[in-house]
Amino acid sequence: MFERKKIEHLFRRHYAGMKHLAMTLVGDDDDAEDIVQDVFARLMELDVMPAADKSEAYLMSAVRNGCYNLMRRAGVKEQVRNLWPVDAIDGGTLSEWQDECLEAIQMFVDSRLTEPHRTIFRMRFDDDMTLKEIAAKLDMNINTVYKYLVQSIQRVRNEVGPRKS
Amino acid sequence: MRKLFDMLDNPGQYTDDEIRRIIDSDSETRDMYETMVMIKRSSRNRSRVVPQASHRKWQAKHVAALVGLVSTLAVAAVVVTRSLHGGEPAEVAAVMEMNDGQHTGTADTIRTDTTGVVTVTFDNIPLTAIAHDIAKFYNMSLVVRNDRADSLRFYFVWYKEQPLGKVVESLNRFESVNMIIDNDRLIVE
Repeated sequence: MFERKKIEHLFRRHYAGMKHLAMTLVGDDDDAEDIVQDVFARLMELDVMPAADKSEAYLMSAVRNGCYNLMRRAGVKEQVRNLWPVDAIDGGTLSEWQDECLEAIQMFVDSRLTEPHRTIFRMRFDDDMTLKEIAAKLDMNINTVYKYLVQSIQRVRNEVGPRKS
Repeated sequence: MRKLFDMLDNPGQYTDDEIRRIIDSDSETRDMYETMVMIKRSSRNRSRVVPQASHRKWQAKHVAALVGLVSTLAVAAVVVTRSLHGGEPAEVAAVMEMNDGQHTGTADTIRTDTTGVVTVTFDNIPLTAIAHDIAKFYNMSLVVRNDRADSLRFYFVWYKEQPLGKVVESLNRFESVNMIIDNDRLIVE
């Protein structure tokens, strides 16, 4: 078992970043907390510790794996409700998105989407509203809401998504 | 494509196989769903995280022999993320330090939003002071090799829940800033 001080050092240094990563991937605070806790619990049982300069990468990988395990165990319905990757769908290019794309997406939305596209976008992705709810709230035709939302998503992909070879 | 959105708004009305078939119906729909996955992640990434009472969850789940250690660690994490100096509330401690007369710029401000997450805004603060606070928070020792670091002043918003690598990456975007992480040392070149 590791010395307590080493674990404590890792915890102080990396807990916040690990929790943030887990929250970004799974979206639920309790699940994210469990995943991070499990990483440290497993670490306490190991006999070999990652090198100091590799500890962050190791811990973040462990968090990612914990998140993907959670997603895989969930049913397909829960996967799509949370907008998680869906199992057994081949041909995706999720891994080809650049690391910086998360901030780039928000910057694009803030600076390049105009109204009502931006409001519809935020209602869908920040507030998790359905097309019907958005249409009712904005007093718009649901088909118009759909059209604007698809346009925005396609623009995000074109601007920030994986580059075609 | 419309079928994808109808399904996402009402997944309970579809079987698992129907859901997979809809997403996998063609490359355009797959790309659309994938993009929505990334957009949702970016939305979550924008929201800030509150370090909750980690030890309570852990105690409910794991064996009693390890509870004491993790309880202490979780409490320490909460203390670290909310305090810069010896357990004092961060809002008081950091403002006091920045107002100690050594820094002639506007004092930094610390905000805790309604979810309890802390950001620190350095407004016209010397690079050495910024680096000092950041190094201390992440348990690093600070090495300053740039003799101009004390005269270089910046406006910088520090999101304390970010890992150190991300914070350094943000700072290095400023011209004339070159910070390096070397094991447990933060070096200002």
